[in-house]
Amino acid sequence: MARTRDPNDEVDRFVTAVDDSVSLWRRGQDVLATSDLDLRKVASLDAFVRVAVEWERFRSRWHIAAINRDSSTYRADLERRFRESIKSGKFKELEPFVHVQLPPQLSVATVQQLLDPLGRNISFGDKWTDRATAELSPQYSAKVLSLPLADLLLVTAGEKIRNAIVHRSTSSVNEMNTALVVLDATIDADLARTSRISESGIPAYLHAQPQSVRRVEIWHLRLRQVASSLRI
Amino acid sequence: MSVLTLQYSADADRLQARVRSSEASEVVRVQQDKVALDIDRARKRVVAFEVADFRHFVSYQLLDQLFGDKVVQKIAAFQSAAVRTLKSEDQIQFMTLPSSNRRTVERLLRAA
Repeated sequence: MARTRDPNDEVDRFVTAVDDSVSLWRRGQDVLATSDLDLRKVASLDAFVRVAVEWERFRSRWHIAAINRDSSTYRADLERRFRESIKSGKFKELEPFVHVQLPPQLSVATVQQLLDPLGRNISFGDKWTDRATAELSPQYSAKVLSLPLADLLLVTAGEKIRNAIVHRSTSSVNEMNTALVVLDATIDADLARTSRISESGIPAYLHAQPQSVRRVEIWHLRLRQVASSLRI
Repeated sequence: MSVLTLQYSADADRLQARVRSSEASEVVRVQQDKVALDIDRARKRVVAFEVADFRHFVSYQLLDQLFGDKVVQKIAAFQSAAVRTLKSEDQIQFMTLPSSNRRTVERLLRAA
């Protein structure tokens, strides 16, 4: 694994992945133009899953790269959490005598190990801005915190749709429906749901074309836009 | 008809919401992440709530379970306006609570 990683490279990689995904989806739609509508809907669903998985990968890698570039905030947070764990444990009296020594620059491999020893993507859930505040240096956390509210709601909704597609549970479908009703009505009106979406209705939602562009393509373009805002 | 009054404090970045004309007896405060709920234990209903870090608030699931789609949609619209223009007050009228409301309140009270 590389020792250093540039967050901007991750943005570039994601933008390319989005463009490739849209291109693949468009070619698929052309080929399927005379086919059954259900096939075209499934192709839209596949394209959404593709971009949603890329987004989670991108967000995780960008976060790790940001810590790798400037580890100061993360090291301080790590030490604070470590001290708290001692204070609440059996050896709390020893806490003042504990000295935590971390390298000034944490390698990508070390950051990954500290964030998730199993090497999985970071699961941000609804805590992206909280984790950015706690773990990233001001230069990088400011990028996340200054994202428009519409973008934060969009990212959350995208994750909830992906969860509903993958898990198909009642709670995941409920969460998706909540997230799609609170999207910014001025910026993401075409993505907001107009009626409740069932688990089986997700392909139709994604394939729908409220105006000139199908929703699945709008999702690609909006996530691309959010990622681009993170460029330093 | 119930009325939910919303007040946003930009300095504290906090939303304060209160259900009008609800005279609560014993109120229990329940904290759920960034949302603090005041629940009337006897009547099993939320009489007020606060949301911290409102500028970045995206976790609407609990409020949806408590108040339903239409209400959270309006809270989100208020949030959008409050964050953009520092709009500080609004009122939401609603007729009925969703069926998940009672179950959710009981779950919150058990956890309190």
